[in-house]
Amino acid sequence: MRILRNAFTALALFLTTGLYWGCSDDFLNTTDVNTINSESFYTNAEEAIKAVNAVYAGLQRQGLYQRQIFFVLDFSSGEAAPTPNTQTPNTQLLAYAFDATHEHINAFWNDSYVTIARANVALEKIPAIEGMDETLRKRLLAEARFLRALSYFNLVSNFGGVPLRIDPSTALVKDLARATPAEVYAVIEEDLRYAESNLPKRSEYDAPNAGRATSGAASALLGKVFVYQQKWGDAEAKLQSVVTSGEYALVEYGRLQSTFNANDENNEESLFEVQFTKNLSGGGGAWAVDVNTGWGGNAEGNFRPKEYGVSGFAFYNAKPSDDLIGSYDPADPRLKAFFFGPGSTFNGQPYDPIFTANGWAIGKYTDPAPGPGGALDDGDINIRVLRYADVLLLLAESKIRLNKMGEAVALINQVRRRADPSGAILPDRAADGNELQHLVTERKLELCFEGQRRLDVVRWGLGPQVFGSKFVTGKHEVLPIPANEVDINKLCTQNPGY
Amino acid sequence: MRHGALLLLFMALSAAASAQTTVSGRVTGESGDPLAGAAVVVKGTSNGVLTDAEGMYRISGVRPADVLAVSYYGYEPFEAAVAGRSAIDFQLVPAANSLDEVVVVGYGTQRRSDLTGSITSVNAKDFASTPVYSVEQALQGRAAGVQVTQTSGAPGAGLRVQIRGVGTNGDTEPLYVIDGYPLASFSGGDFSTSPLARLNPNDIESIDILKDASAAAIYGARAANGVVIITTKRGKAGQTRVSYDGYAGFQQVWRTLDLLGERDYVEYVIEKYTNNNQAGDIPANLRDPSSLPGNNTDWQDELFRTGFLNNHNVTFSGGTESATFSLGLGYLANSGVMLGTDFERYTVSLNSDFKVGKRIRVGNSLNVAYTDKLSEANLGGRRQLEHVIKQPATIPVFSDDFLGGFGWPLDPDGQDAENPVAAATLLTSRSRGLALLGTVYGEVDLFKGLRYRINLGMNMGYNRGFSRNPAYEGVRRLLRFSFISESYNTSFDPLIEQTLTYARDFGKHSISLLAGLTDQYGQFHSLSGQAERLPNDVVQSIPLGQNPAVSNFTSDANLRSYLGRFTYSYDGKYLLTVNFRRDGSSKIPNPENRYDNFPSASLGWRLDREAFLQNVEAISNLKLRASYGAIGNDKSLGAYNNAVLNGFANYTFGGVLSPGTTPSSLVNTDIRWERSVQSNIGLDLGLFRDALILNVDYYIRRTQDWIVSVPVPPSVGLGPAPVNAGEIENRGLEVALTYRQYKSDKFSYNISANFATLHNEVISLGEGEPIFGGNTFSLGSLTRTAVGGPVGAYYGFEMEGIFQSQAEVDAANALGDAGPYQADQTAPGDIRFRDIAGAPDENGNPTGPDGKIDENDRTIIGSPIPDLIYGLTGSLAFGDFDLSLNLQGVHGNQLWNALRTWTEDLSQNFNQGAAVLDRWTPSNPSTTVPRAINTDPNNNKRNSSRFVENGSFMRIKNLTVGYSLRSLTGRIPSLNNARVYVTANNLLTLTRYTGYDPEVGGDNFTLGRGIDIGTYPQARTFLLGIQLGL
Repeated sequence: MRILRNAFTALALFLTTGLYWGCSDDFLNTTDVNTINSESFYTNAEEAIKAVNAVYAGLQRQGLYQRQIFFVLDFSSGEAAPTPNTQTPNTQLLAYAFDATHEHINAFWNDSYVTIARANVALEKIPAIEGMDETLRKRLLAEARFLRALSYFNLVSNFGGVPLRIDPSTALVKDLARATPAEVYAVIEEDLRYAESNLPKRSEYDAPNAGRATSGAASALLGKVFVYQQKWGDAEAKLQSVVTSGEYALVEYGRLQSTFNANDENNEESLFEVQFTKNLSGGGGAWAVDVNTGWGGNAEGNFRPKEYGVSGFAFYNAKPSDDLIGSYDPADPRLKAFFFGPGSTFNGQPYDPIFTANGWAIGKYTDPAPGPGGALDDGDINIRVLRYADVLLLLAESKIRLNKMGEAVALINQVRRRADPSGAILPDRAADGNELQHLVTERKLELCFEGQRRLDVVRWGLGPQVFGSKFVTGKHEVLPIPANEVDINKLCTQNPGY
Repeated sequence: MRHGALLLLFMALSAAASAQTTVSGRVTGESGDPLAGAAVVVKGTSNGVLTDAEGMYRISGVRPADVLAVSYYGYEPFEAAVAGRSAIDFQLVPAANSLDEVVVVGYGTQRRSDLTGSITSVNAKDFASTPVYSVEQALQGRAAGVQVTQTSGAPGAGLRVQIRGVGTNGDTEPLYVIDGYPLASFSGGDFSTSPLARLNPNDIESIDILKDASAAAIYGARAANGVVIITTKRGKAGQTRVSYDGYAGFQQVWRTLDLLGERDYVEYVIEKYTNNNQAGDIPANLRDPSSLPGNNTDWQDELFRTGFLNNHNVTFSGGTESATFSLGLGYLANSGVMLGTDFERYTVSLNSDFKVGKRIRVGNSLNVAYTDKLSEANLGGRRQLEHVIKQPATIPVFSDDFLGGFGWPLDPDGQDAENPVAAATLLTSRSRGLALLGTVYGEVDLFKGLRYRINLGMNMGYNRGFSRNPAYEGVRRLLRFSFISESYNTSFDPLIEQTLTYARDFGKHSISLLAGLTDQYGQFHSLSGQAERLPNDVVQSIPLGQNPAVSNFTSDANLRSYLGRFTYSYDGKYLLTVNFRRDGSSKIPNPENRYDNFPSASLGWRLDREAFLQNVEAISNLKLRASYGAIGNDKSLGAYNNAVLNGFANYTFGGVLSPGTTPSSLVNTDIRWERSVQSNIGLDLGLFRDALILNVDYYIRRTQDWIVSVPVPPSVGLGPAPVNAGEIENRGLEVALTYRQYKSDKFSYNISANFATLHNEVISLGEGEPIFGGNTFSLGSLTRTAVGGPVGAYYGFEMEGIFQSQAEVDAANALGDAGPYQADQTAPGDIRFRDIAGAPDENGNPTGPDGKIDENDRTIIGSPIPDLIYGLTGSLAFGDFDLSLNLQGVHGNQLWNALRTWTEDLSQNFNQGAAVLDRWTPSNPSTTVPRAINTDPNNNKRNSSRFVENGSFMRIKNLTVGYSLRSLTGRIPSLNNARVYVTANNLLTLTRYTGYDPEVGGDNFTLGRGIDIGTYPQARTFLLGIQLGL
């Protein structure tokens, strides 16, 4: 009897605790309180705005305007020359010795597609949000389409035809063949047409929204896209509409330097900028102290000022090439605006030319007064992606191709007169039969270190002339498709020669 | 008066000593047979003899008050007081042999004779005579199939333990169970490197390693990497015993690299610029080898130092029949061989057991550790050794030109190596942690054979980490402003566990049953903050700095389990064990997948108990074992696996932060834990009363549902999702052989040797593509895990040789289509890589050589997984001296010596190793070291077989010589034991590896095994120790 009683006690103990457990499997339902659950998102206007903000943030990624895209475009353009600090990936770009595993090219590709993926998510989710203001909905969709178009334009102009991921049916497909450049451009044009008709004008945004895509930016980018396709008539019309909109103007020479630094951002000469702000990285502060650690993909500061800045104040990984400096008239006022050199003021003192081998340092996006250690801080300077001077010169180019030489040189001279209002140093160009050469030169001088030169040279077919024998015709017009893409995406082909 | 007493004592001792007699007698076994060769010793002296063939002995110089001790291998030692007698006979009883050893299995114990699974045990006495300062060290080289790698020589660094190969690309550490408490993944405290850092090895009684599924399945979803059960010391009834165990010593790096001095460095720099037609770019101060800066800094000399180590342990234990205790106190301090590192550990352990009446027992285990660690500075995200290697001898250690007082490269030097001495001096990264692991149990015998047990456990950790960097001028005089960060984390992991056991013999049938329920919580919280540009170097207030930031993290991971075991044996001959566990984990997002069952079964057959073997004297044990079962690995899953969004995709409009939210990777909410099935067959053989023991096991362990990230093309723009898709197989043979010869009290020895083979192979990646891994800071991914190869195989180009002439370059360029073989500017002196394949054809099939070197020519160039691991321990006692040796080795693996990408860089202005003195020049047609050439146009430095080296090594981990102070123990009656010893660790290493040390763990241990990027080097240590027992 006693044995039975004990056995009963044991079983009772065991079963009661067991039953208690059995009823409370809540114990296994834990909640992640560290981040946002995707199932409960994309339900209201505020979340729609966040979804589109994230697309803009894609442009801030390291592979794009925070860092690596400007390495790719500057070191392959003949504008940048090496310093003792220039690292191997950049010397490979200088020598046109890059291949499909090049880290900067790969990051440029990857982060372009991160931006596109974010745009695609926004374009898929925002139309389904209920009870949202329709004007805001259209604006947000137009912003996402503008950003997607910009990303595809960067891809198609640098890599040729690329896989087109534009809707839920193509967004996640593993194996997706490259579209032709014409197909990519068609998508870009469609996105930009939607964007220009649904985005506010520059003057219609209030200050807290400064920096959002505008209809002017969409029109200008569309014009540029036409230029790249040699659709000269469309280009002229579209770019002319930007000029006649009255939304934009060249700033006076006195502001030409500041139009590339943190004091004069989103001004009337700028159509679209990637916004960077220091001291907002929220935990990314570590890399401001020590740039080699904690490179946050979401940091709000950029690397440009510290990568190219003046020796002794920044990493000084690049300097202007002798060829570029030599292209300017020594008295061209733009030398002082775009570079630091003999006679410049830097950090409140006369610039010391012994800082660099040829006496010049890159001035665009370089903080002219960084203070001690300041150039190593988060880069605070927005990257100007579309500038009015570029629009004027693209318009000039379109007019040259359409044989409107007088109108074309007038536009070139408008850009020159801004730097030298009297025309004493930079005499006006004439419709003298060399209009295209004038344009080529003016783009080189006015738009240096803005990521234009390599693409201009390639589309003008001047690769071998400008870059010499290292430029292999039939190969170097485009960059290699990253090896990872070709390896994994079985339908993606490599560009010829790589 | 006191002197008088001493004098009297001395006279008494002398008188006793003078009254010496001779004692004789006979030593027999249990049946009265004479035992020849038994040792008879006057206790506490070295006076002893051996018995003759008739078992007779005669020993002289015996005082009436002496005690005679008799020992014979295989029998219990026996002692008798002489008490004035002159003839004493001894009848010895057989010792409990190794088969009666109790082995700790999950949730219980078993006699070794009844085991059917594969379990290796290491007992305290196996490592008691040698100093070990971490638990893993005690395992090193002692258990077949258990690879213990000292991955870093840093003070307080953990070791990596890997049982039976690699079955995951996540964490491969086994599950540690300390006094019944399974340590969950989040262990809190500063124990990220090893969950065992909290334990003082001096407190350990035994370590049992459950290797096969049969043994480990009782731990279910956490057991696939093997289970290590650690049992700490408990008190025994009787007199309170006190022991002291302490040692002190010093350590030094055992190897340094041969790096260039100033002159060789400058000549190298000049040559590489000249070779690239860039003579004008040579840094001005390096143009003339005859006029050098004159610093000639030896950076290794500056950073390495003699480290000191000391360790003190005191243990009290004892009790009565109804209450016993064991109390241990420990202190360890190690200053490390590298400037700016140190470690201190304070431990307290307290175990107690109480009997309440006849049926109830209660007790507890408690381990508390406080640790304080100063870690190696990590300036620029790089290891100190990278700076040591890269910084040229031309740069001074100190310079008043720079704020902060250290010397650094300037712009014209064309290199940006950091000053490691400055990093060690200026930067502080310290963590202080308190960890507490305690369990309380209660046990009731309900009726014959039935027992209820409840075990309540708690693992708590608290850690504070902080780093402080003052403002200083560094490379190129760039100002690094001050920076502080501080973090706190706590963990709180309670355990509730209840078991019922029933064991009963029915005639020749013995059965036992176990059933249990457990709930284990894992709660982790962290909070950290940081700021830069503090007002000055004294102020450490985050709000007073600029760009302050705060972050926190919370995780809850809970596990609910049902477990059971059934064992049956018939006549001790036929043995059966069935284990079962059902685990439910909160880590698994889909409730339908949340529970899984882990069964196992094993059989044993004791052949020695069969009639046909019973009369074979020589065979004391012969058992065949076979087992099969399923076990899981939940470590590859984080605490949460639901679809989440990146809430930090922020942007700024109008200079104001504007939050952005977006997905950042694909999600698989059907993810489950990895599951392995393992089969094992084994044989245990004991010969000559178990003087010789042989254990052989062969296993096949197959990880199914291996979690792999199926790569997505970058154009998808989202990271990959983990999928249960792959399959890995590990198989191997494990052999352990122990020979114990116990000749006499004066001379005995034993030797244990073990080896294990390992074959690791990826069977399937499911839909997945090969996985690239082993990413290092500047080298990209160095490994590729693909079907047919091992996990983490090294991947890169194959170095074929060096182009000796332009004709050879031209001939290569003529291969294939237009364009160069490798690069436009390939020239004599550059490396020729092997042309293996061209681009895959339209169907994705591989193609043959195409006369071009591109990414298609990358191939497997080595494996970090050894074919063979082995260990040998030997001990020898000779009179009062004892000697022990622990040797360990691995064979057949490769290491990626990333250090050589710096020492043989040959293109940048960093310092180089002495190997470059043999670099290719037209007059020195080297076949191994390419030319020096600025910008490396041929990319000689690409990831290739050039940097992959033979990783085999054999190392004397430990050599100890001890001396027992028997004259002291003889004179002080209360002193049972007194021993002094000297020990050398890492005394000798035989290897062809050329880095600092062949024991390379790799920072990224998952898919980056064996990649040496300058891990804190191992030290050779010399210690002097004392052991006293009262």
